[in-house]
Amino acid sequence: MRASFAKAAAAGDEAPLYFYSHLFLRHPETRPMFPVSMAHQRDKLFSALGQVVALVDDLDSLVPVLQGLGRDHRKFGTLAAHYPAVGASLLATLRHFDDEWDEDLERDWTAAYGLVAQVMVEAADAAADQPAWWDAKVVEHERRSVDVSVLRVQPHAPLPVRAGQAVSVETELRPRLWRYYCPAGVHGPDGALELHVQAHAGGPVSSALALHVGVGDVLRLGPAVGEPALLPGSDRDLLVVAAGAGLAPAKALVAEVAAGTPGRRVHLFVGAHDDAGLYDLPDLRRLESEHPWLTVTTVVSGDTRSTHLNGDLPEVVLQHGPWNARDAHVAGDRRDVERTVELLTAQGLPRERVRAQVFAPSRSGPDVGGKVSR
Amino acid sequence: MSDQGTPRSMPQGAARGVAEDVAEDVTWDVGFGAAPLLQRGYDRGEVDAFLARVRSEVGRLAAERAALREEVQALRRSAPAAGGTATPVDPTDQAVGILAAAQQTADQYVADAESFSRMLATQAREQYENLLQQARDEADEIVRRAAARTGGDPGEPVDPGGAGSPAGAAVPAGGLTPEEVQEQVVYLQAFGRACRAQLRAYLEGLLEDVEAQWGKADPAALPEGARTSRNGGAPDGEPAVVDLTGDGAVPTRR
Repeated sequence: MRASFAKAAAAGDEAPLYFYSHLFLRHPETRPMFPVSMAHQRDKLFSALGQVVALVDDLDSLVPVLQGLGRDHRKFGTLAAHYPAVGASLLATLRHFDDEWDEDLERDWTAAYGLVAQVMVEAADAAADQPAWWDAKVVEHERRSVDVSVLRVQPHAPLPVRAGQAVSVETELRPRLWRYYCPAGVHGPDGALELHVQAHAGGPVSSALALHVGVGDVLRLGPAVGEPALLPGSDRDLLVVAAGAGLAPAKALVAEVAAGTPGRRVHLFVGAHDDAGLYDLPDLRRLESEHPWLTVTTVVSGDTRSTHLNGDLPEVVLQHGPWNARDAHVAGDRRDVERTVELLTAQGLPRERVRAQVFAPSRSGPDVGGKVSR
Repeated sequence: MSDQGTPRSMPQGAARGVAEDVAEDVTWDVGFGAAPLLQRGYDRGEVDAFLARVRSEVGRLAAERAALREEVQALRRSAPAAGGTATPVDPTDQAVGILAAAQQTADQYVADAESFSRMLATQAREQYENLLQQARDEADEIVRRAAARTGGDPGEPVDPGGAGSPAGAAVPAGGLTPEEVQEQVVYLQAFGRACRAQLRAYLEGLLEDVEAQWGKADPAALPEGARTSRNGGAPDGEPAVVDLTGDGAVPTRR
């Protein structure tokens, strides 16, 4: 079976192209479930299948992965009836790309796919008490800088999400394109979520969310994915480092600490290239004045005129140390996150007490294991 | 406004394709404040009548939609029994190939559009940053000069002197933060500069007229100073500011 999958995988883009074309011709009703451009979708399919095939001997790891996939597919409108359709087209694809296809292989693959589908469907059914997706009305939309907007969205039902977790977001302006965002916290009794969106050049969803969506529009949100950021059982003080887009999960973290056991101190470093990058300053100041245990240090790296602390974020964080007695949470762009983690661990902070989250533009989604990033 | 018109103040959400029940909510919520006394506005009665029409129409559509949904569900339930689309047909390789090619074409178009938009956005962003940087440098330069010029003599009524100190070290005044003071200084300087430029152009025009008239009548009466000052002034751009304040003839204004 692995050999036959390898043959299809070796065909590169051809194989998933064949698969989807086959599926859409055989079941035209499945086409509207996918975006117009299928280029990224094809990558996703075969990398997911590859992971499943790689784990096929390790059921303990495979089953949770499949369950996650099954749950996650509910938001796409996937029904149990779609699974046999996908199975038939998958088999047709493998057959098409394998010269030595025979009845034994056909039987094995059918049985294997049946199992996979069964696990996914069961997981999806088990999650049926939760909405498949949440319609969330935009109640506030504030353009904070030339390309960053802060949105407040009101889901139609409570959407449980913890600091560090991400929810996928779809707007009807860009149908069937889902992107993951870490909410910056839940507000008020109605559970409105705060989203920070930076429009990336050429990013269809981010620019629509940041620039075109308005108050009253309805977004679609998927269930929360990823691990909660706070280390379970720890009551150590916290060091939170937010570079650029990392501010959203950092704010969520502060809110979670505020709601948790009292007495934990938090030092939050917020880094940006220039003053305009510190798009949430008033709210940070408000938080700082509300919470005596919170210290906020703002750092600007690319503008010596700025009245904020000048310098390279990782270096500034290090200079304010030592941080070895704390739990550290670092989020933002890859360079700053990696450098900060490197410096902190070099200073003696155990790596397992450092949580790092890298945000990159156009993340298509978490991998098959549900991890948003490393 | 005729009864068939669309009210301008109709909330956005209703016009976009949001769920119809949302649209229904929105329509019910709509209320229009009274227009200011001196402004003309739509006839209140007409607007109310229109809203009533919209409400009843939305209500009718919602009922119709519910009925249609029922019908669709009923049809769906009966369809498999009638053996409609029970057995999907396996597509031929040729068909798969055609659809695959079409899909690839579409993918390519989307990718091209995205990369084009990426290119434009990146360029625009770069340009924006350059302009911002340029403006900042210019503002800095103005502040620096103003400080250099007036730093020793705070009594002089030129307003940049109000900051009374070099750039970046403005003293907080009247509850303003240094950044705010700085911002105001920069703004006022830019404003002053614009005013000076306008005034200068206007006065020069005036002078020219006057000189032309006087010159015709009595060449000896030409005011020597005004002419040299005018000719000595920089053509345009920044140095003009210095020359102008230097000759002290132009009033400064807040």
